[in-house]
Amino acid sequence: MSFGDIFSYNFVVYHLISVGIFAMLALSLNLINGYAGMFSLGHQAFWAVGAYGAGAVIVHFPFQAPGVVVFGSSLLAGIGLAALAGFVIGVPCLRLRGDYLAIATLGFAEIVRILLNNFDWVGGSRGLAIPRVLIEKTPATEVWFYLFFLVFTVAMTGLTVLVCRNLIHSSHGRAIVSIREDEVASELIGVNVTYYKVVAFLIGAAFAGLAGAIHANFFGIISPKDFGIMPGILILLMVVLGGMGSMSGTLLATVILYFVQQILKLKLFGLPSTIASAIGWPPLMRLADTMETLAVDRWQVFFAILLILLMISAPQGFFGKREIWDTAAYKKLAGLFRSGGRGSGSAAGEGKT
Amino acid sequence: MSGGILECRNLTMRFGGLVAVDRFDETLVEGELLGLIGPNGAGKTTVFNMITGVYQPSSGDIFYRGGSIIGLKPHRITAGGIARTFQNIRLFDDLSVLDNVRLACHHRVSYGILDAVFRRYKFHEGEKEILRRSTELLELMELSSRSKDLAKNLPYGEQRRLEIARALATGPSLLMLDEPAAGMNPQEKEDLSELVGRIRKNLDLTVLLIEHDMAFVMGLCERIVVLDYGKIICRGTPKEVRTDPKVIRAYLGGSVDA
Repeated sequence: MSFGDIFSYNFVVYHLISVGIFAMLALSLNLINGYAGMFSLGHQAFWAVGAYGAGAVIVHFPFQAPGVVVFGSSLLAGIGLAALAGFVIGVPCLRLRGDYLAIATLGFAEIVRILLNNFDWVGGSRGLAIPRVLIEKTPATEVWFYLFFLVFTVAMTGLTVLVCRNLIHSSHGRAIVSIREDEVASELIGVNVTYYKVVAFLIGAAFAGLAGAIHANFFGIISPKDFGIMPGILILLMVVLGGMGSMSGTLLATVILYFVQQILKLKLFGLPSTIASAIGWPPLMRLADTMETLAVDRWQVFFAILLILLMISAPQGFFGKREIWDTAAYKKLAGLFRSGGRGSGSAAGEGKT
Repeated sequence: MSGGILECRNLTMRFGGLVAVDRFDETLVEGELLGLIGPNGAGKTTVFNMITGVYQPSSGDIFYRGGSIIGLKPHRITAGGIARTFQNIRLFDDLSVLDNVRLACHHRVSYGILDAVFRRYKFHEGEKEILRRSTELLELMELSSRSKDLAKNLPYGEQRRLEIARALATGPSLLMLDEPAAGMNPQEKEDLSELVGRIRKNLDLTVLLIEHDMAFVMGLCERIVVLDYGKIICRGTPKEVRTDPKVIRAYLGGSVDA
């Protein structure tokens, strides 16, 4: 990877789509962990089920059909199977709370991963290669493929935000939040706690399944190790860091964590060695080289340190249970805008609920 | 049987070897205000927990409007018209005062999840209705000015009133108050007493009240049941109860063999 690569369209679009997929995963997990207060560590399982469901439908599609039909059914299969998995895991876990629920969901995720490792008809541990069904792979169509998935992922991320927002700002959403606040009181003022726990799991899983289906269609290759504990923890961190029960916080944390991770993984974009070789001083070049090697080999360590520091300085995550526009800092900023540049700054607080 | 709104028959709750409530037998007549008193640990809250479905009684039966409610989930019992408050306040601390009350309207929400997601007409109608009911109740409980504050930021007395508002929002015909005056000063107690009397009349409620404060109970209740060690030791009008030697012994300790 050299520094110049980061300006190519497929590099940029690739990462934008990845961020979109993670945003969907984090937002849907936020519904379960943040709003319903059920600490699940198994979200990667729903992602995997969605990806494999979509992949299996494409690979094993029984009849000749136009690409758009196959694509559509792969999405529906991903969503449907993940929702079903959400239901299957949600029901037995209803009686569990806190740590016990976390362990049960983690166990469930591992079961899914190990099963996928051993199912030969979806490739087993070799992974599953998924042919492109919507836009054929030729040099001429490559740019359209990227563009389509960029637009589609952005639209679906938007849909996730909209559905979560509309759900949470309704009586049903308040019922879900009340479970987090006090389960007993919630039941005693007439909320069917069992039902809403399953609903939260089901909707969260369905959107993770959608993310998985897009993942499978866009990347074209999936393997069980893509859906292990580490990626699951990454999604969880996006939620925790953003603030459990804050959609804007989750989105912000998703973007930050994803890019920090990628910058480390991609040898700091090759920037140090590019600069060092431009200067041309050998010790500097060696230092740049060491930095890059450390970043790529030990990125998890940097990541962990960064997270520890963040959790010490902001244990509630960026925004706690609030949204960005409910925080004092935002209001202050918006106020500054309003008093400073009359007319131009009035849009600061608009369009937000 | 005798046309009571709530009948408890031989209600017994055992926790291991401990009999927390022993053959509790009582009938509430529609519209009355019954006080349930007794020293700490007498089993009053356990009675509440059995009626609201939090505990499954070890034996005995509870009839609400003629039908047994044993084994029903708490949210079903609430939906049926029994609402309660808690001895140690259990509000949704991080939600606004308004949301606390709106949540209690949830069980009769008129729109489905999909109506909410697609923001259909039914959603807006339903939300309007919920908001109307909630604002009305907040006004009744004199909490209107607080509706946007988080529940945890209210002073103690207002939290108690919010609990009652939330219980009322479920639309009960039987309201059960678990030590509503605990921790209040005499002035607040007097206000509360007046408030309970008012909402009872306005909303046509039957009230079952647990209270420690004798003066509060005596001033408010028409009939009192006294529990001690899980057993009913006395029942009658406030005057009868106050002079009953068994009650005095239960509260003051010592023997009354004099």
